[in-house]
Amino acid sequence: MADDTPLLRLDKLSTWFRTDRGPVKAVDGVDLEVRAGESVGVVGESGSGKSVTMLSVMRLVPSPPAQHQGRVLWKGEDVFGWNARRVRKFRGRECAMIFQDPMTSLNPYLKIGLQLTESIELHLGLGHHAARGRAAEMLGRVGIAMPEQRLDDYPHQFSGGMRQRVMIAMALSCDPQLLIADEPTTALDVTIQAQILELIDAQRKAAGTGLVLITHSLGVVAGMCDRTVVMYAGRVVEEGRTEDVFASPRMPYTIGLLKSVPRLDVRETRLVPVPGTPPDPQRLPSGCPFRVRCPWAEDRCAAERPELREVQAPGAARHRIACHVDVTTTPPRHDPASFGKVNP
Amino acid sequence: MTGEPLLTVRGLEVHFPIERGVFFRHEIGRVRAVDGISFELRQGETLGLVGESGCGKSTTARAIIRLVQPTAGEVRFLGHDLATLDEETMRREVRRHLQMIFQDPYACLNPRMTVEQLVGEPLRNFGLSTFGLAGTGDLRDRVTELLQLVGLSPRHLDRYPHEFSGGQRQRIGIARALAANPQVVLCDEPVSALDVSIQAQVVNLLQDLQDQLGLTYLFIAHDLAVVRHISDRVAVMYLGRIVEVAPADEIYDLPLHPYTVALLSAIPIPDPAVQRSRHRIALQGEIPSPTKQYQGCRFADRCPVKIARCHTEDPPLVEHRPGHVAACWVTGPNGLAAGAMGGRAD
Repeated sequence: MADDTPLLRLDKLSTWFRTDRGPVKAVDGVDLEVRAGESVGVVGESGSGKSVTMLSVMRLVPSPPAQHQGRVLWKGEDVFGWNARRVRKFRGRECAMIFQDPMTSLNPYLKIGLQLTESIELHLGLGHHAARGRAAEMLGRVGIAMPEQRLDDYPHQFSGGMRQRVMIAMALSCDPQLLIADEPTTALDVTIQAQILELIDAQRKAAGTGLVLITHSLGVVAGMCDRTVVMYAGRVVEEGRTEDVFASPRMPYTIGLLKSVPRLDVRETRLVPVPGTPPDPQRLPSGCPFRVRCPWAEDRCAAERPELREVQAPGAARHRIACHVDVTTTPPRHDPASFGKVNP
Repeated sequence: MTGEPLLTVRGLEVHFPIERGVFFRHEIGRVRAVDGISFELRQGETLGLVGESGCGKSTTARAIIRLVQPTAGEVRFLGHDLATLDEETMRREVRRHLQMIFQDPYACLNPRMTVEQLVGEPLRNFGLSTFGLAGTGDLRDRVTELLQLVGLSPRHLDRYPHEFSGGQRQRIGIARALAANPQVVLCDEPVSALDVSIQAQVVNLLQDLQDQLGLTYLFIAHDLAVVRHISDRVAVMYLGRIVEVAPADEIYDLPLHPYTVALLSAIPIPDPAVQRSRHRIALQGEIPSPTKQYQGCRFADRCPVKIARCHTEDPPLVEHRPGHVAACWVTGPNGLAAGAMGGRAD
């Protein structure tokens, strides 16, 4: 493996589901790269395809019924070409995932210890005793007191924040090279969220693990990720260094999102909402899916689908957007407020 | 813009008994969801109520409007004490002036009713339409007017809730709450279930309605950024108690209570330059069980600045600055000493 081969590369990945009303493209031609040790934030609203993208990477979207197009490359190898045995080695050992809901992702009938040692024994080939030691060590590392004793507890004996710590311990127990965290703190309170995010960040940095953080919170990405990917209607619409995306967003959707969230440190008298509603994935508009809500939309946006293209970013870092318009030189054609209060 | 107290809460307490036994049911403990809180809502203002899950903020609203029965305390509104008022008077004289917007726009609308029926229901219940006498025309007109007020159109009248998006359903919920021309609206997490890009639409709508109709809001949410944006004053709750009330402009710049300081530092700011240079205070542990009884301050177990007194004496709310009260033995008019809370920047 040459050094410049990314750990994970998505090459025009699409995932669609068959429904009675026709196929729904949940993921639509996503290009994405994650390099070793890098942290990438994937932001978007519910239904934007961010979770399905990462579930597809983990081969957790069964196909059929779902259909994939494009490729997922793990260090250059095509993930969709793997047999079940290779996929098992990939999941947990090379790439681990943390899910949103710590209440349902642990088996309520099994003791924490058993759930932790299962993958350690399988992937690291340790004996039962050694695996228990490793499990206790991991629990200690994620800040659970008296880890040896707690191995014999059931999930219901842990609080929500503690269960998410167990999930993190489980995910990191086999030293994966990439950790995918799907809204790891959405179900938790803010003070607990801060604890968990710091834990993920510290553990990841110590072990040099790459991170894909899926979230709808712009604030979380701002604090933790080297690069930011914005998704809308199953597509990547903007991608670049976190500093660049936040300081000089170039895609109207990103601009709208950033303006519509109230900030703790700045007091605006009025928020600027993104007009309209997120699109129905079964009835996406032609061309750019955001054009019906976009203040910059022009005729070309309906006729032609904008592909991801490079734009000039400070410091020559890579910054890509899927938009026909250059917002730095073009004023908005419509006043966002004039979109009115009524959602059609 | 704000005036006289319109609704006054004194020593409000909601305890839920925990019972054991089949033949001899007896109380073995109490969940102290709301444990003696006092505040006032002034005419025309928005009072924000923030706190983490389980702190009692929703229970407070439900107790005010009597969806749960308070175990002690009083709620003064329109010359009545709502905590002890009989059901009949409550329904006839109070509820139409005191309405609520709920968190979940999917659960709070009856799926079998059309928008016209949903928004018209309060009008019929409070006898505010001439429905039945002059036909349905009058009711339909008023419902149309309400829909336009919240940014929906008359062509939505005959549709059912499932035909709408989350943001639109929340608008229907708001129209329902406003149907009877209330003076006070209790908003219980009205935007938390909505997509980020839709939240701002609903927040702006609530602000416009307040300006147009002179409404008074109690705005409950766990998102301090949203609360601070919409509120004139912000009250912070922890474990059934209000620990700080501050003008919205002051709460971020000068929080007085250590819990507020920690809560603010935990909220991420969507700006990499700012977020990465902030001091974060990692609170130890989690929110304790609300069944526990306290002699002193409820926050003392997790507090980085506690002193011996905090474990033995319950701190009262003290006005440290004009209109800015906090319940803490350690803090003063200039807040906590710099660095007292620990924390680090990275």
